[in-house]
Amino acid sequence: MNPTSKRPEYLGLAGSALALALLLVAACVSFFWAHSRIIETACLPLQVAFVFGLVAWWYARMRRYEAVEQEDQERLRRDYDRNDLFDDQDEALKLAKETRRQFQKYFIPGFTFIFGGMVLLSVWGLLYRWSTIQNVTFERSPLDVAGLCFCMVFLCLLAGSYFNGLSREKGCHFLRPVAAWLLMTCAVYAVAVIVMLLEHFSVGTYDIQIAKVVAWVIFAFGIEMMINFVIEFYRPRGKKDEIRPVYESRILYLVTEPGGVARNVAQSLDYQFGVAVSETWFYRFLERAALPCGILLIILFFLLDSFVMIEANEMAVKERFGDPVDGVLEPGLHLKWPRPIENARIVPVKKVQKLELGIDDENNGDPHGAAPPAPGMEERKAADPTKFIPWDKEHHDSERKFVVASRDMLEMGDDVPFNFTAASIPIYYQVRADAEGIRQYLYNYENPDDVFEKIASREVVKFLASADFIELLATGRLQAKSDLEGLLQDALAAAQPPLGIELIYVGFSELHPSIDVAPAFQEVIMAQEQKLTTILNAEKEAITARTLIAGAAAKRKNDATADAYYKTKVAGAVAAKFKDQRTAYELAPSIYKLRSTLDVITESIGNKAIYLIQTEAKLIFEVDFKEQIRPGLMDYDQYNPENKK
Amino acid sequence: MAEDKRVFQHWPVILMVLIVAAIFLIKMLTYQVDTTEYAIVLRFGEPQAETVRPRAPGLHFKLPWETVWRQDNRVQCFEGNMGEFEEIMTADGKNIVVSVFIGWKIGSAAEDQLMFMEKLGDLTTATDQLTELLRTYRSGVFGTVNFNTLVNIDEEKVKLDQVEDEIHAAISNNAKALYGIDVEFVGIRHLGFPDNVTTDVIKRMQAERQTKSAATKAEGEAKAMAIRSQADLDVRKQMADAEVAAKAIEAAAETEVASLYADFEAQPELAKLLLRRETAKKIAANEMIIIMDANEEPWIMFQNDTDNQPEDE
Repeated sequence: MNPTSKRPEYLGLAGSALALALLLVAACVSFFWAHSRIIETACLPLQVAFVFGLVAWWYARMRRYEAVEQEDQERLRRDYDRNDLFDDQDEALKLAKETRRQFQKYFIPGFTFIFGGMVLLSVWGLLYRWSTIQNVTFERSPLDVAGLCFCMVFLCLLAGSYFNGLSREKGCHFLRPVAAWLLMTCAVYAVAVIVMLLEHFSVGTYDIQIAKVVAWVIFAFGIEMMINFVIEFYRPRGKKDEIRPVYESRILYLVTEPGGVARNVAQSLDYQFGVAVSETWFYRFLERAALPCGILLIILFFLLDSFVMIEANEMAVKERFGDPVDGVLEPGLHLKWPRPIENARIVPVKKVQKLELGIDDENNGDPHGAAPPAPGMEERKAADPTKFIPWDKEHHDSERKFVVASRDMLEMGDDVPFNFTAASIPIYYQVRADAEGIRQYLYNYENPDDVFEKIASREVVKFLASADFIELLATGRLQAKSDLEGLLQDALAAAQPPLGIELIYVGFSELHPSIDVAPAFQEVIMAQEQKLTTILNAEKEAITARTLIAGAAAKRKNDATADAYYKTKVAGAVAAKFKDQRTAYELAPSIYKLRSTLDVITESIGNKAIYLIQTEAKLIFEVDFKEQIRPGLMDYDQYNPENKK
Repeated sequence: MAEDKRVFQHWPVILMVLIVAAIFLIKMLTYQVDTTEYAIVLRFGEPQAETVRPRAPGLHFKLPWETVWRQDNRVQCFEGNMGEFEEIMTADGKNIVVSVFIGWKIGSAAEDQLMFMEKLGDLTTATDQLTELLRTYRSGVFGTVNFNTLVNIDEEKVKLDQVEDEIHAAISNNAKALYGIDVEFVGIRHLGFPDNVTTDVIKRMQAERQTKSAATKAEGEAKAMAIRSQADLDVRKQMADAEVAAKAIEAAAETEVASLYADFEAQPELAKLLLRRETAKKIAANEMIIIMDANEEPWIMFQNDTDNQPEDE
């Protein structure tokens, strides 16, 4: 290129103008339409590219003046064929060269430092602003924003690549930072496309978070600029070194260098495997086929999206541009236009869905362990902890306390008769398996399952508000189940607009006092058992006493009878004997008397001690007929001759 | 020729750009209305008279500078963005915790949709506003009823339906007039008490059960006592009967014995002697010391031996 050409200047201005145009578009889109923080962040690299474009223009302009000045000198030397005219004052006369040298020596480093600081301040300002408005949500169409961002990606990619290619031309290397920051903008827009697609497909809204990450990356580039200002002083300078703008980012350069990434990858592979992998046919094939393969994949994706498989327990509604068409799709393979033209909403109509009111169970219940009343219960509980479910142990992670009416409390004079009960009410339902039911399920409510749960809760609250607690616990449980089922059927039938749901089963699998009250309830049962035990004990004692007393009465009577019998019989015998004794007595009365006396004494004396008293002689005899006991130590004195007396 | 070849080499990129540009163009010129949506076309942010009308589901055209405001037309159900469970007081001064849900949707009339768009704009703002209405009327209506009309063993006295209807009517009127919202239904999802009241209710329930168990135990004791005393009465009666019978038998025996002993009167001396002898034998059968006169029989036969005893002494 001719050194005096104005092309580099025009290119600098063009880069700057393009960056400005893109900046205006980004700002308008961000603030007035898309409300995207990432697009707002994309304004920063565009501002940098705009300023760098102006610097490139100015530098190219000085280079042209210098070249013109050089040409003038050469022409004068050639015209006058002598050198002495300029030799003495040569340097002093090279004003353009000197200006360019001063620009390069002082302005560029100074500009780098100040501009780096400005970039840091801008990023800080953005982050500060976002911290005050981060919770604000805007209405936008993420898909529209993604489409626009996709176009901006291509625009920036084309512009960046174009300027990157131009920067290789002589005198245009100051365009390289412009290209690098345009490509940086391209990357930011690419990130915005991904974030918007995630938002569109309801994966999540990450706009502010990703925008902050991007802002911190730009912040890092600002710091790099300021570091470049310092290390520029220590850079060894060769005469033939190409002058590089100090503010150029080395990190960004690695990525934005034309073919840089691919080349780096190839070099890494070559280094790793020790052979020229990049020269192999496979690597070259991949290099050539990557883009067509990508396009092919997209086409395949659309083709696959043209089929919809409805499982055995499902039915679907086909929508064309959001409008339902063709009734419902039965199980099987069906054709449709790919999205966004046609879409199939699949509903698991035959799948029974379960809703469990009253409990919040994440680990499927854990009744923990109470002392088992039955043998082998511990083992059964260990195998399955849900097998043993007493009232006074937690069955679930969390149990809801329902307010329930209480007849007992009313009878006790409470003006607000109610109790709390814990209940587990499983409700099974399914989507109505007809076209109308499916459409009602899909289109009437934003979340029909949640609405059904709320309606069911309402019916349970109403039902329990007038049900008797004790009755529910025992005798009324089955009736309650059927009543509640009827109430839910009625509520479903009355729901406007219809839910498209049919009820299959309602149960009262658990209904018991809350865990805090359960022991008191068990106490009542215990008291009833104790009452029965006390009564039975009394009955036992009564039966025993009644039975025994019959025996005692009989014994008493029998004793009296026996006694009477004995007395009368003996008396008879005595009377008979008396007749004989009378005869004997009348024959020898005194002898009979003596014999009788001696007979008594003989029979009575036995082994007794008898004291005989002779009153006249004042003597007392001791006659001991007791058997002599073998003498012991204590009786020794009796044998002592001294004591014999 | 070489230039043509270079262009041809980049056909995939060009194709992709063209496809994307075409998609974006179509996107700019059309909009899709889902069955579950309402849509209003805005020109430079302003709804136009001809665009404010219900749009059928499907694909529609628009100008590039027109944007589409769209919102869900299905029934939304919620219990309030804040105060889902709120403590309120009933007319009779009972503090209760209630949770009420409402089902609502944007009105189907064009003016309702326009009003919703202009005044609220989105579902989040709408739920914020509805939360305010819900909290206001929920507390207001519950404040007019006694607790025993919310929970009562007599089903006729429970007025939960009436409470729901009143809240529904109040919210519905305001939501329709202010925001173009149709409130489809209102339901009481939870009825309970604050934690500290709940604790006291549980204590009361415990006391009630304990009263019942104490009464049951006492009932048992009383019944046992009655059984025992009845048994005691029966025993004593039976023993008394047995005693009467025994005494009669004994009396009869005594009479008979006396008649048998009538012969004794013929020889009273002998009878007395025999009776004494029998009595003496019976008495002597016991452990005792007998003191007798040495001058009596049979000891009299030892008289001579006993005369020497004092001398020996």
